[in-house]
Amino acid sequence: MPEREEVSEEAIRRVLEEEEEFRRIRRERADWDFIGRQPPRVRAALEYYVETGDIRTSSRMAGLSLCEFRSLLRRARIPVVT
Amino acid sequence: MSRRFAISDTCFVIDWSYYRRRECLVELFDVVLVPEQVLSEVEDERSISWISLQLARGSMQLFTPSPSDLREAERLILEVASRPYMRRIDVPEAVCLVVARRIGAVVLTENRGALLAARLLRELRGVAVWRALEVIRESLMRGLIEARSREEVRRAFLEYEVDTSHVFPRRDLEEAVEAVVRCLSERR
Repeated sequence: MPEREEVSEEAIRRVLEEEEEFRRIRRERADWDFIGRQPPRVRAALEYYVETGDIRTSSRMAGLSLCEFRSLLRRARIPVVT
Repeated sequence: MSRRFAISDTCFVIDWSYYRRRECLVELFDVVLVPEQVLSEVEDERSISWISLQLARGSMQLFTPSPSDLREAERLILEVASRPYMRRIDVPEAVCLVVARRIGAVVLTENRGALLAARLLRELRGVAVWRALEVIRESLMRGLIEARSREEVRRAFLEYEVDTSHVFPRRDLEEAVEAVVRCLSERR
């Protein structure tokens, strides 16, 4: 079994800071009225995306394909931040 | 001269196909590989029609991962999943990473999990992973997107944001603009 490599605390801290910054951008730009008008399953998926940026899990949560969910993100004004 | 390959994941190619300057991608690389797992996820009419045109021209090629690529992709998915500070990856982007490592291709992705895996895992060090930001930067530097001033350079990036509802982190954007402006002024 190969030895598991360790990632420095500094690198992890930087990742977590970026995550927070990207989350803030998604929260600020999102159209919360639009999100609030969606059926519960879709609303939960959009909120999950705002928090995590994880499009695959979000699209499955919404019961939509990746492309359909990407289109929904545009309508909800939630940007992809990478 | 060796051929310049890229391999695209789903989120990249879906968004890229909305960019008004999308053609620069296929001028930047000899071939952009599209794994079967990626193609099967693309349903959007605009994206699939652009991809099918590129496949017909030979600028893109459908790629079927080998059984060992798929086994390696599965191992990588589990490796990433075992680290709580990383973002999960799925089969399409994992395939892109392991195939790129094997053949020396550039991975095209907007998937945060894939970007973090390439940045943090020693086993993926040396694998070039580009977002749209890097593709536009390279296209500007090579003159595939014309720009004569800082404003025109910045506009090329901002057009992508407008066309795709994407946001580049401001620091990364400023660094990219600066690098292009420096490159253009050295060329004059």
